[in-house]
Amino acid sequence: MKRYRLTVPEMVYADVRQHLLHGRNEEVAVLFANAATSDDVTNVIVRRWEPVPSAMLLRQAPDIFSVDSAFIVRHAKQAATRGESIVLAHSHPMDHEIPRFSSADDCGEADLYAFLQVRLSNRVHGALVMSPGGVAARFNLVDGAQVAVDEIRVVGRRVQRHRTCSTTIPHDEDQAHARQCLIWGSHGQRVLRDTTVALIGAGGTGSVVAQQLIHLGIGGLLVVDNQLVEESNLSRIVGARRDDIDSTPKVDVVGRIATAVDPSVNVWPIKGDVTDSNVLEKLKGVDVIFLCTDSHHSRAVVNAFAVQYVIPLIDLGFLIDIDEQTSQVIAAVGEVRVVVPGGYCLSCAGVLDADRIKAEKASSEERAAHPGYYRALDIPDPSVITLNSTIASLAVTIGCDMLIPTMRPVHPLDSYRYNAVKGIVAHHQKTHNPLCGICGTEGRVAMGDLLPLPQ
Amino acid sequence: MRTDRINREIAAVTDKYPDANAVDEPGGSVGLVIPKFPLPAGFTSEMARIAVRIPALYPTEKLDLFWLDPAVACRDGAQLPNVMTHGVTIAGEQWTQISWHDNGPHDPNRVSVLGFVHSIKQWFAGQVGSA
Repeated sequence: MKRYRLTVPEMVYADVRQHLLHGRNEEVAVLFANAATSDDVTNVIVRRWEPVPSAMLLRQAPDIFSVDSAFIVRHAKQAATRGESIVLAHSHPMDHEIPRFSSADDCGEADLYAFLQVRLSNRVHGALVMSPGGVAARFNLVDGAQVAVDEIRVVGRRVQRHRTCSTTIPHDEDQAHARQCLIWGSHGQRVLRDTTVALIGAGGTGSVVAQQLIHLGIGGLLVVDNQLVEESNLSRIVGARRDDIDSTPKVDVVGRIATAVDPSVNVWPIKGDVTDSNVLEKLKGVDVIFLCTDSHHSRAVVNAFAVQYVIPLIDLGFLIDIDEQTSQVIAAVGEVRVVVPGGYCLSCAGVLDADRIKAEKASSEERAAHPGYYRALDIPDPSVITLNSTIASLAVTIGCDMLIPTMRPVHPLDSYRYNAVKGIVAHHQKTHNPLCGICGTEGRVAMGDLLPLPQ
Repeated sequence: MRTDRINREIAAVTDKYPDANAVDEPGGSVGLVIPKFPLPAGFTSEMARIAVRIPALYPTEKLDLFWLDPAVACRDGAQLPNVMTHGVTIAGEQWTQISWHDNGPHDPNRVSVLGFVHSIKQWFAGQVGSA
């Protein structure tokens, strides 16, 4: 069944909420958004907003409003040139329950949609109503049909999921999770059960992340990896067996763990490369992405994708440097980075190596023509399950913090570094560049399907 | 549709080279053609068509290589350096690929397309000793 979702970056949501609920009268705002459609989800992602000033409200009372059409026309022109959809947001300030659209709202929206169908055709538009007790939304689809939005998702320091009356989070009566429910309650457990995670890379760190998510009782796990298990993987891929060597895809090892531990966890193995648009397309509806690949090209693609579709990204990796002369470990540092609206991304934080991306994107002909230049790509990096597991545990803990309402929210600038040589885990704050070409105001934030999938 | 950042950077190039034209390519990259790029003395013409490619993941990805009108040559008959490939198609036109790389450290927070184009100008000057 098709689901309908409205996604709003946290800072936009906070500003809109403050505007809509600041007085006793109904207030109005125009949200500008871009759609992200997949087979099972139509997601409308809010990129920016404009308050409707009092001077542009023809009527304004605690139970009704009317906007000067000149305001709508002016902003519809802007939206037309930018390819955006419009979501008209207003408040029901006296309603202390989850609000419902009134008959006056129905009439006003009918006129609005008739106008938008002409000026901004072939786009999903919508309406949002907010009260002190909650929020609800509905969409006007391209064919003119009206549908209730199943979930309004606010993404930032945490993922807040406002469900409408018609949808409920499934219960999890499984005693297997009783002890962790003592930490985050049965509601927290239901949130996990209602969460679908994309896991990019099912190797040394990815397999540990997968194992932990399965034990935690995550709802769904979409696992992307294009490799078979090799003999050298047996030391660190959790769940890999000797009879998997050169025959079993790494993604299938994750499926096997789920079958053994908790068959109710849905695992969707994708044996493919995440830089392939057909693979990336399948990730549009996930709730969180764990990025566990060494490839800088893959990480650049997933970083841009996560920003474009406002999906929280948890990137993890380990770097071990060995002195070739003495065989001493010079450095062994793992890092978990969080890419969420309002924070840095892997590009502006300087995590990604442009030369490495170029080398990884090179065709087989280019590699054959310049073997010396590309040789470094074939040299395996040091890796060990103990260190991988430490950093994977840290990443999954941060994922739980982000998802479960009673846990500590992450900070958008957070990164966590485990220095295995010094034996410390330290918390760092990175810098966000507001002019970043990926996560800055001029970048890919909330652009959805308006931009091509990154490659 | 492109990001505002890329549109702004293309506009900066167009301000300097009013005939410049940007063409979206499959895969999300943008071909940027400058039809009247001034060349220093020492080439067979005073102007040349050049093209740069803004990669799909720019500015995470770096700007690299540029493309030149196949008709351009050094006046003294010397071969153009860094020519790796002929017959490359960009923005629907045929080009000679100049395998030139900006080997400085890449900082996605500081790089610009116009700066890269300026580096190409310096490359031409360097070929005829007028840098």
